[in-house]
Amino acid sequence: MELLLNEQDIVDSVCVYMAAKEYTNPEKVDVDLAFNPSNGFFATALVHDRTVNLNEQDLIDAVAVYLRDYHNFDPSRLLVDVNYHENEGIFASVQVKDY
Amino acid sequence: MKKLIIVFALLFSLVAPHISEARGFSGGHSSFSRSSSFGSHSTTTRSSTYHSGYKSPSNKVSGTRSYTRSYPTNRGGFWSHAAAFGAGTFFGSMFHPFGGHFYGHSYGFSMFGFLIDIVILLIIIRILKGIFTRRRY
Repeated sequence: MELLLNEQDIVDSVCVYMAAKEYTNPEKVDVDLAFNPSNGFFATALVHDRTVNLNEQDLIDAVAVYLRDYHNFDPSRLLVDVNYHENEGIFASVQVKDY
Repeated sequence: MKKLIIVFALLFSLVAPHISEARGFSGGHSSFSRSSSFGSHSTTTRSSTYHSGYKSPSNKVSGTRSYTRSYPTNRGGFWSHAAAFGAGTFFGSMFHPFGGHFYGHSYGFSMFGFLIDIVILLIIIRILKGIFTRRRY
């Protein structure tokens, strides 16, 4: 099975991931997703008036945490591919491995 | 010169990072789509799509939830306080040793009232027993 997450889903994932780390609510996190051909994907999260930088692996972890906590997926079965397209922005396709 | 500017503009648009404005949590109502056909993604021809490649989460992500989602419950309010007040009044009058005082008249000890009190007490004890010794499956 393959899941497709749009940019808002990835933002939600980072919000959930950072909220769990910082012991706050996801609603209190602001996320700025970015892509650069030389640096890849990265994000900046604003939590408690503090900015936290996230790299590509953090984004993948965030997607896994989001799918685990909100959709009961097993993180060990997930393979996350973050993509960028000029028109669609940043999105992710997630492969769910079979047992 | 004009060509140079166009080339420079093109190069800048390619090199400049894609930065979206800061966004917040949408509420967790995911809109992600599921596609059962495994190869559909790879067959699409997107020449300008950058792929990070499929990667698994790091060891930091465990299988168990790192936190429990708690939702605020709407406890309290006028009616719960009124019910507690009523129950307090009822029990207070029930356990009063010298009977009831209604409209200024004292009725003293009543055997019938005492029996009703015992019956109510037995019912309450039975309910509490039923709650705490409930069969667990």
